[in-house]
Amino acid sequence: MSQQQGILVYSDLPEVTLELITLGQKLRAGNLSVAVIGSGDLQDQISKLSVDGVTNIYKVSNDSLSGFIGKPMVDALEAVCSEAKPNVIIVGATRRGREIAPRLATRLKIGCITDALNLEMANGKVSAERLVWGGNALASVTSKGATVVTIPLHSNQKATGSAQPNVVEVSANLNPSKVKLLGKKERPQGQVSIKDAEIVVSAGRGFKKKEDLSLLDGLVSTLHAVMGASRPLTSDLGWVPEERQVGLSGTTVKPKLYIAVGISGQIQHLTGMRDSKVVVAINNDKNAPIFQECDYGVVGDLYAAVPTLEKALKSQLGS
Amino acid sequence: MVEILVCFKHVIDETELKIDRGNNKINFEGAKTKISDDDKNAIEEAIRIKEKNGGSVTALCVGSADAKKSMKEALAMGCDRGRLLVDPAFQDSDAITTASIISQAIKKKIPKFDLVITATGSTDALTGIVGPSLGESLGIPQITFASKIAVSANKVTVDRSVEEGLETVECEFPVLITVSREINQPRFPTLIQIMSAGKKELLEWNAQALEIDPLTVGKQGSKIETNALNVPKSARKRIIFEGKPEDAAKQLAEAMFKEGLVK
Ligand SMILES: Cc1cc2nc3c(=O)[nH]c(=O)nc-3n(C[C@H](O)[C@H](O)[C@H](O)COP(=O)(O)OP(=O)(O)OC[C@H]3O[C@@H](n4cnc5c(N)ncnc54)[C@H](O)[C@@H]3O)c2cc1C
Repeated sequence: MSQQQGILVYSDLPEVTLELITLGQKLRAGNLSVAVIGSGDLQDQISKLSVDGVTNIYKVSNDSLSGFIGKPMVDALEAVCSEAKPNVIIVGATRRGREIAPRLATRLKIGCITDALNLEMANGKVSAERLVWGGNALASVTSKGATVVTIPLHSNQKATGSAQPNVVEVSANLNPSKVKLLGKKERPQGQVSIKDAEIVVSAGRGFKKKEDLSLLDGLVSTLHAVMGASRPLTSDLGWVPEERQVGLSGTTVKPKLYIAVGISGQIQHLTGMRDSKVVVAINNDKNAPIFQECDYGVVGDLYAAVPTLEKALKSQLGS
Repeated sequence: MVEILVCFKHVIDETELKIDRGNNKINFEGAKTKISDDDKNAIEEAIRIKEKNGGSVTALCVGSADAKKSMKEALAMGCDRGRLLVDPAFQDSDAITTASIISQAIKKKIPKFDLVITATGSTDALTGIVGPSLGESLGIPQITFASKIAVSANKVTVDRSVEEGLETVECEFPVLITVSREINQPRFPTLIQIMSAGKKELLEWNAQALEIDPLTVGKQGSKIETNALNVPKSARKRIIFEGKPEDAAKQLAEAMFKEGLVK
């Protein structure tokens, strides 16, 4: 590609595309283009994504894109790139995004940075930071020339407002993939997943037996929280279902408030809750690493502290 | 009979790293190495498919001479042969370049295969790039984030989870699959398996053997450069209440209200 300039953003989830548009605006790097790919007229998506700052929308519509299979998606994005000639292609780090970003970069023979934090563009170079070594370290990386970047979900606000971008229809030569979609099972709706919870109360190995976890019930319901746990309580002891595990090998949560009860704060756990707005810890070991990573801490026996905390919160709430 | 290639990475054990709080750097001294955790799931899955359907498993690793140790472990787990892609020129390759080295090795030396299995990412760099990039370089279909694989005749049926739920997809050989951790529980090799792993074929291939131009790999062949490693700074307030747990908990409740955390 020659004379690349500007930014192209894409996600298979339009809500995420809105987040990427916000990031694209912040980078102020010329045109801000959005790729919309799928089947049908895609009008709903196009109007949804015609928000402040968007200059162009590149649309690829084709029946082979209806199942969101990787290959036709990469074909479509490749066609958009040869039209838009962006310098940076920003893809949301959904599962599909994590597949198509490296594929696109490999095809275009350009660099790829995944899970980029603090993305910057200066002097024709793209630079970012990424968490490595299980979250122990931040690496700063730079890329020569055009680059495909993936951005962790929910790391930017959704863009708002409205604009009248140019809508460019791109015709792409899409060959159907050899990968065939046989079926789909939607995730059951309704239950708040820990990933989206505003308040998470997590239990750790400081609880002596499974029955004791009921000690948290009152706190959880008072705060309208969702319960999480450290790995020993999920995989090792089976006290708590695995989908509630917070951490490196579990889920990453970003609540407004994260309360760690009887959790030591090992790095693999911290990786999963580092982006919480406020962190509270209850632990009887003053030297537990969690106290380095919390905003408010209580050094003390959780069996005494939790019921008091619940009572104090309830009385302040007047309930 | 399924001919399976499985790729793994030889990494420093991240659980052994020490953090130097003084200069905010990581201390790599004395840290042990291992097969990257999720790659063990990839190896396990390859072996299970072979055990069920017949065929063979070839393990591939781009690494230093020290990676031989991990290769022996992969052989002890049940891979049939090991191929170590090792050359000073490969050092400091970025993930896409690493995938291109593996791709060239497969095209050059193992052109006949049915399945390539990788993890979705490694425990050190966590880029998740090598699998998808390798599939693209090889020009074969790929299925990512597999949580279940069933092989029948000349095709695979795979469950994969995406944001909205679970997808079931199907593809004929050859195909590359990246597997999620949840797919299986990797085995521990027995003592006998560890002893007999030494008898399995372990070949080393360098840039010349793979007809790779050294200028196209390593630092100069890579687009992405990693410059510095720092420990993430924690900007937490660290307001700690001590004393009687009951009193401390009350102070905590007050602080939570002042912050507007509870409504
Ligand atoms: C590759 C890998 C991946 C991992 N992934 C994860 C992951 O995703 N999530 C995860 O959580 N872990 C993960 N781990 C495990 C992690 O290293 C820790 O072992 C784990 O987080 C520890 O859990 P814990 O804090 O509950 O237990 P512990 O470390 O045993 O801590 C228990 C804490 O409770 C305190 N305590 C004890 N009694 C009381 C009491 N009466 N009142 C108050 N406090 C008390 C103790 O002081 C201690 O600090 C992973 C490990 C590896 C190697």
